[in-house]
Formats: sequence, C-alpha cells, structure tokens
Amino acid sequence: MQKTFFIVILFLITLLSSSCNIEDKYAPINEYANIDLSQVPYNNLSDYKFFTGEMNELNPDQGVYSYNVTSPLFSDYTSKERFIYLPEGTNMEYQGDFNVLNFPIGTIIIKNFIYYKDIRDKSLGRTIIETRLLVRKETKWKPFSYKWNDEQTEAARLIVGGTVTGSTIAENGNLKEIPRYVIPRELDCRTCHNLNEDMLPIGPKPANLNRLMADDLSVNQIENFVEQGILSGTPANISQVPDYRDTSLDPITRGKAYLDANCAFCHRQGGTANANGLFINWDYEGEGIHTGIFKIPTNFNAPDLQYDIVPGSPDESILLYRMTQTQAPDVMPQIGRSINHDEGIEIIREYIYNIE
Amino acid sequence: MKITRLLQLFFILSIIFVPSCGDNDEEIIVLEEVTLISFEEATFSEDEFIIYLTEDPIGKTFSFGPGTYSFANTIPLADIDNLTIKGAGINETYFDFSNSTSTTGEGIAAVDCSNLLFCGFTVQNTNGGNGITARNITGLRFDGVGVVWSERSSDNGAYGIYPVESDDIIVENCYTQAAVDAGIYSGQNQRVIMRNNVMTLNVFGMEAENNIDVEIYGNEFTRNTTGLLTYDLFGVSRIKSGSNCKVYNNTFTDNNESNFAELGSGLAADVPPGFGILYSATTALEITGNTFVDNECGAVLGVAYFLVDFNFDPNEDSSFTFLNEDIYIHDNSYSSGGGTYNVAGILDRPAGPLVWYTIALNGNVRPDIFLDDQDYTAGGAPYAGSRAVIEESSDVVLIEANFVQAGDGIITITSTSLDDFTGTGTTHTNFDLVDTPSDCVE
Repeated sequence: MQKTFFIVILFLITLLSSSCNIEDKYAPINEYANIDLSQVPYNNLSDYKFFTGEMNELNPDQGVYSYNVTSPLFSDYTSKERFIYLPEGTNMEYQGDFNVLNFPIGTIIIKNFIYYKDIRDKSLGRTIIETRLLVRKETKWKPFSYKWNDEQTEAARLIVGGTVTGSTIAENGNLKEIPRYVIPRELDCRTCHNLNEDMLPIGPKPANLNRLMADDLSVNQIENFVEQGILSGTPANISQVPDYRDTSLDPITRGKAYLDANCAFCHRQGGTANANGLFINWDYEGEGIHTGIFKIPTNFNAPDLQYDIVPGSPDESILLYRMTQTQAPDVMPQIGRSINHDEGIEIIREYIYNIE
Repeated sequence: MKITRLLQLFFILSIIFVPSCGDNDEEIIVLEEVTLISFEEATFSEDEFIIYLTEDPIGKTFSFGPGTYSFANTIPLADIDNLTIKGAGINETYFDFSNSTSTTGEGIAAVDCSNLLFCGFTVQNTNGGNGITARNITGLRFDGVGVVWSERSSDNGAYGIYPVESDDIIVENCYTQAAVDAGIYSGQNQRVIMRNNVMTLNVFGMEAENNIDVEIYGNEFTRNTTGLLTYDLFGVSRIKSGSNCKVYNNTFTDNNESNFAELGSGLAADVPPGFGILYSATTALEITGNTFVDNECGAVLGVAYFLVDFNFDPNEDSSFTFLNEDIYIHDNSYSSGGGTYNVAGILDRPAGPLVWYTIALNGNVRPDIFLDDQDYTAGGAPYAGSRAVIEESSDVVLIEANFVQAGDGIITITSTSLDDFTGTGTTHTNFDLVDTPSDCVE
C-alpha cells in the first residue's frame, strides 16, 4: 500500500514537472517572506510583510536588511530608511566599486521617505510619506510606489503620484516647510533610474555602501553584509564616495561627493543626460569640458550665464544657478526637489570657488 | 465603468511557435491583443491615461478625439515598443500644458522606446520645457504634429520637437511656433529626415546638431529670428562631430524677428536676427535648391566654432571638428528684397560673438553668403579650414572675412569673389532610413 502511494506520488511529480504550464515560470521565488513575484506589485505595502510589529516602526523582518549610503540624495529634507529584501538563500554580488551590486531575481529595494518633527530628536515623532520599491523582476527592474495613510497604518499603491505638505526641523535647527512635496508617478522613476537603457538602482553601489553601520559604529556595513552571507565577491579594499556633510573634508572633495549623489545619476556616461556630455560622477576620470568647466550646456539658456562651471566664479556658473531654482525648466535635479537645499548650495558654491 | 466604455479592443488571431516542455515542438494558438484606446475630451481622465501608460502600453494606439485636453503633468513614455499617440488633426486635437506643474516643463517625454508614432495633434504652451522630448528612440515619426506657444516669451520651452540620441527619425508635416531656441531640433541622431514642416516665430526655425545623415527638404522657414542652424556643439557625448547633411528645396522667408531668448548661453541667446541658414563646425553639408527671400542679414552664414565660443580650445579634444569642411552651396535662389539691416536687433545681442559678423556688415553691401575665412591661431598653432565650394549665379553677393580680432572689433574682408570658391563640391550621400509606418489619415 505504502509502495503504491509513493509510485503515485512519483508519477504525479513527474507529470507536473514535465507539464507546460504557464504558471511554472511565475512560481513563488521563496516561501519565507511569502512574496510571490508574479503577484507583485501588491495593492498594499503590508501585503509584502517586510516589517514585523507595527508596520510604521519599520522593523525589518527575516530577509529584509537595513542599509545606508555615505552620501544621500537630497529629497526636500526627508529622512530615508532603506532596506533590501532578498529571497531566501540568495545573495548580492560585488561587480565593481562604482557599479550597483548584482541583485538576485526577486530582490526588492525599499526606500521610505519620512519627515521627522525634529531630525535632531527622533523621539518627537515622524510621518512616513511614501515608500518606493524597486523590484528585480525576471528580466528587469520595476518601480512601485506606496503612499502612507494619515493614520500611518498602511500604504496603498499610487501609480499616478501626488503631492503632500511636509515640515521638519533640520540638523541646523532651522524649520523647513515643504508646501508641495511631490510623490512621483511610477513612470517618473525612470527619469533618474536609468543606465544604458536599463532601469537600475542608484544608491547601492559598494563605494556608497562603504561606511559604518548606522546602529553600530564599530562595524563596516559591507563587511557586515559579507558576514551575514548576503554579499559575495568583495575585494579587500573598496573605494568610498565620501559623505559631503563631513565638514572636515576639503571643499573640492565635498563638492564632488555632493554632485555624485545629487546629479550624477543622470549626469554620467549612459545616464539620462548622457547626451549633454556633463559627467560629474565621483569616478569620472576625465578632465576639462565634460566636468562642466567652460562647457556650454546643450539645451539650456540661463540668464546672463554662459557655462556650466566658471572656475572660481560660482555666481557665473549655470550649475549653481540651477540648484537655486525651483521652477521648470530651471530646477535641477528635474524631479525630486521642490525647495532649495541650502546646505548643498553652499557646498557647491565653495566647490566652484575653489576650482582653479 | 468609464474606461471600459471607452475601450475598443481588437483581437487579432496570430500563430506563434513556442517550444514545449517535451521533445516535440507543438503549435500553440494564442490571442495577441492589439488595442486601440480612444479618449474623448468630455470624459478624458489624465490619471486613466497614465495608468495605461504605466501598466500596459506596449503595442497600443492612444487616439484622442477633437478638443482640448488639459494636462497637469508631462506625459511620460518609457521602455515601450510600438506605441502611437494620435489626434484628430493638427488643428483639431490640442494637448494643453498651461496649467501643468511638471518640473521638467515638458509636454511629452519619451525615453528608451522603439517605433513611436505621434500624429495629428498640437502640444501647446508647455510650462518652460520642450514640447516633445524623445531620447534614445529607435524608429520615431512625427506626422502632422504641432508645438506652439501663444506668445513669443523667454519663458517658453526651448524646443518644440526634440529627438536626441535616437535613430531613424522622420519629422514631417509639423508646425512649430515661438520656441525660445528651435522649433524642430535634431541632436546626436543618426538617419533623420525633416520634411514639409512649417516653422514660424521661433528663435531658430530648425536646428540640427551633431547628427550623422540628415535630409532637410520641403520646409518653410518663415519669420523666425534665423531660419536654420546646423552645427556641431563641443563637449557632447554620443556624436561628437556630425556629418552628411543635405538642405534642399526649402524656402527661407523674412527670418528677421527679434531674438526673444534671454541673453545667456549658446547660439540661441547669441544669434542676431536676419539669416536664412547659419552653420558652424560642420562636415559634409550640401545646400541646394533653396529659395531665400528677404532675410535681412543674408541667406547663408558659415562660421568656425571659435566664433560660437570664444573660450574654445581645440587642443582639448582632437576628435571635434571645429572648422567647416566639405561645404557645397549651389543652385539656390536668392532674393534680398532690398530691406535694411535690423541694427537694433543686432545690437540687442551684445554678448554674442556672432554679433561681430553682423556689425561687420555696416558699410558693406549686404551679402547673400557670408563666410568665415577659417584662418585662426589657437593655442600657438595655426588652423586653416578649407573653403566652401560655391556654384551660384554671378549676381550672388559674397563676403568672406577674417575674424581673428573680432573681439577687438577688427574684422578684415578677405574675399568678395565667387571665383575664389570653385572646386568639386561634395554631394550628399544617400542613406537608408528604417521607416516607421504612419497610419495617420488626414
């Protein structure tokens, strides 16, 4: 009887594995977080079960890893909490200091945009505005956006974007009011997440991840990933894009780091702004015209300004001018900023002033 | 539901072969969905349209009935194969962006697509960005598309129709008005045809920048600041130096409007009014069969890149061709109309190096063709460009000048004789463009 049972089971397994069912391709990648890639995007953020306990505390569940970058993109004074979900038994692979990690199919990069009442004292409370996901599907990355409700209990998918108001007290104690924070449409993600015709993550490249853990300053983040078994192939020494907020650094270093984080996702070879020929990524090794010095922009006319960068003259430089604007078509970056980044403007002013 | 009501679905049976899991290939019949989605002005929802574009845009035709559709944001197209956006006609269907809050200010922005067709509509009053930007597209056709701004204002978008870093492009039967740079632009593209378009009241009617293989014919350039700009800009990425452009059978009429761009960077800010064609840093350009009427400063102006950018250093990148080479100007029709120079308009552009060209006209007979002698010393080295080959009737007025000291106001006339411009002209090389089909019926 038992033997017959096993034969039947074997027969069924053989039958199933040889069938040509379209569902086979889309079988769940793993069970442990119950994310069925074929069903992604889910309607609600809670459906993914990324977090344990109250979702708005953003405590990562199994398979979800917190990470931070050295030099963050300015996004209207939001704070960001970043996570990577990896399917069970998979890991990320190193593929160069300045290339984003090679992520396994099923990876979801999770970025939460948050206004703290006072960034200097997080215990005073916060509002999570939105959570953006980048999902590594079978053949390409896909972006999905979720907007949090007023009760901060759930976030629902929002394809078409929207606006909210926000405010926060920044590191320097200044109150920052953001009357029109823009949640991008999902299609807008491509504006920045674009390299050589493919949608790609931007932040998680080794030179950006090469920093201390936010919650344990004795541990390097990359080494921690390796120890946890979720990152392989790393060399002994990895470059670092410095933290532009570090006031002990020289103005040129801070400026280049700022440009890398805030401009170079488009302004690099193969980026969205490739045609413009302005390459201001940290690892661009060329000199001269492509760094912006005495470069006439391809498609922008600034009042009384000729060149992207005039060495020593920040106020004659289009690059700085566009950072001080908030309206189309002058504003740079073209999406993601509705008010000025005062600290960034000062960093770039000092940078251009110090270019010889 | 509204969407369902608007949907018109057409299913086409097609047969495709897919490998089976077993050893035998088998034939499977599947339904391939080809969808026409129609919108009407009264019931149109921008959000619905955006959801379609996000979730399932491939292979779709989006058809817009007559009327004015007001958009709150740019229409984004990304990573789509085979898409058509179609209106009821260039004077029937309007996409209005007067109330858009887009931070790029663009009307339509397409990136990384193939086989895109735009036809039968007009984009109007974008909030500072281009009318239609198309970046990295393979197979792109604009047929009967308008891009207009109601007034000539420096707040207008720089470009009306703006394909860049793309291949196999046709722009035809289009109309552009009041772009603050160029009505129709083509930059860093390969295989481009721009034909039978009408450009008026722009700074430049049309601009071709760093392209390989271009034909510009049958167009009307009327009442722009200057008609056509074809040149190579230094420091771009995909095509550093373009080549092979033929400009033929166009009409350039009364391109003398004041320049309404803000004084600033680039040629649009610098160009004084009154030219039919301006070319610079160009290789293999043939200008023939065109009709020039009443362009006050001249029909054709050719300058080396030094006059575009006083800070240009030829030692920085030897791959950039900054002199004009293989220029062939022949068999055009010139009619000056006896107007006077727009000196006020010229002096309105004091920042531009090009202004020296037009100031040099003072006291001289107005030329039809006005050329740089391309004799420069830069970085300690001499540069001497070759002369254009010109075959025109003997009454065509030509001035060639040396501008080495233009910045000091010293300009020397080096030739006024067509006899100095003889030779064997390089004719345009034909190219095979992969045609994006147009199903626009008008």
